[in-house]
Amino acid sequence: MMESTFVVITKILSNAAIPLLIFGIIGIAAIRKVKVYEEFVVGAKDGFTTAVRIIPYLVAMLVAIGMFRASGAMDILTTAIGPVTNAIGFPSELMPLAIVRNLSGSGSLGLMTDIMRTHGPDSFMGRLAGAMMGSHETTFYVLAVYFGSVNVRKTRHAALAGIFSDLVALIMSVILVRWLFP
Amino acid sequence: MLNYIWLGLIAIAIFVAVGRDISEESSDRFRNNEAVPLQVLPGSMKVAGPNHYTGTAYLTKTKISQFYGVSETKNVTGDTVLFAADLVQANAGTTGASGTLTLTLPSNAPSVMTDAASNGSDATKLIGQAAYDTTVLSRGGTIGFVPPSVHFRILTKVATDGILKTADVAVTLALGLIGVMALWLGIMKIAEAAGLVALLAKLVKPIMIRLFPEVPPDHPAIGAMVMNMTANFLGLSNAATPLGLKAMEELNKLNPNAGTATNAMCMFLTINTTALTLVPATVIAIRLTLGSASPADIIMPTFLATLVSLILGVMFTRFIERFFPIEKEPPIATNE
Repeated sequence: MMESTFVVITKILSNAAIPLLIFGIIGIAAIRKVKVYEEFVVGAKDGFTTAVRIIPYLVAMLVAIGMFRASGAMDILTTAIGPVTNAIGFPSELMPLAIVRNLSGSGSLGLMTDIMRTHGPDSFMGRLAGAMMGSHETTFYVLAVYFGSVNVRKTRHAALAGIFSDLVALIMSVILVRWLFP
Repeated sequence: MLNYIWLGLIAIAIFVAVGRDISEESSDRFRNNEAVPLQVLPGSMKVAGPNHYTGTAYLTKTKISQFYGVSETKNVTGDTVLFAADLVQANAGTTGASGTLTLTLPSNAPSVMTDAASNGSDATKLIGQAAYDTTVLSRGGTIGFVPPSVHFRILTKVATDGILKTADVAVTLALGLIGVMALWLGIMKIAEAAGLVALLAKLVKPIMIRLFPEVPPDHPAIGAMVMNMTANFLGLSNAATPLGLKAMEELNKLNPNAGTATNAMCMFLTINTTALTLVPATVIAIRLTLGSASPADIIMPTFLATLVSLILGVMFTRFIERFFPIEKEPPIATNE
């Protein structure tokens, strides 16, 4: 398998980014005479409390999603919407991915890999699955975790705005993949 | 909003599960307590020990269709389904014998049998009672096999897989965050002390004051949000979450109504959920392993799609925030 220079650079960058970033920050701080170790420990202390604080919100959200999937409601939903999306040029095979992407990161990764394996990574379906995966975030997970960390229960328009953005990203993915890879 | 989504997910899940279970019960999909006529060829069951036989049993597609109905043969490829059979004989009289039969399901087993198996402890095996003529084991013939009866399978699945397992997963997930969380909050503190956060915040100040008009431009929340967005942009999702939570904490200090989201929080979350990323590293890595000719060509459509969704998302958030007014909490804490 030939790898282009671009891919190699991308891979190196994504592997080296974290160590380089950490080293860069600590290095500059040290030059500016910051007591790096002491500052680190003070900041890191909050790691535990933050993680523990989000547990109730995460349990609530993931259990509801888990029930939805286990009951088969997810499958029914995707088959029901299928004909509608087919009509507007969106393949119904990608419906599960479009829905699961908002709910579960690992679940959608599995779905995307499966689609790419069946249709090929360079097919229209494979590319579209990749673009959908890359341009969406697990909205409900983010909502639960972020609001959970500050005990916000009344989330107002956040969920609606998140769903809207995901919908835009989905439509744009279809348009762009069709346009860029005819 | 989240209240309705949450309630909706749970209500639909229960409704669908009960509906499917009732339909399976009323059509007696699993033919509970009826014997499946398994076929055995002469000599295909071998003696493996005292009263213990192993070998192969089979069902033809026609038999499956007769017994379970045509709709259950969808998953059946080929004309016959071969099962690895393990028989422990309990009684043998002059008229017939009986015992416990374990069938290992092949990949082309009818879905009704795999569903019944996944209801038990081992999803690949069906363990049930067998009744047969003693001659069948040597000369071949029919074994009447009664699998364990299946009732309200989907509700059971919702309870175990849906509720109990995911509750456990949620806690594991949260506790798994502790390490990375501590690491990045520590690094963030160093960057703050070195004046790096302030520098970065200053650079993007013109954008930030428009996005977050109610946050003072020199407030620590701006620095934390900028750090989070930078981490997201570079694809460092491990770093992004702790920094984002730090930003929420800072934003919450400006929140006059604890427990209710502010406009700034909602805007920050919109920006976060659009996930503007320079390099979708995971997608590229998976395409590479699957043999793509140019795995990184996904960057362009992904970037443009997120850019459009970011811009429209921000405009949409700004537009709808007026329709979701902040309800003032009564002074006495409600029992919510």
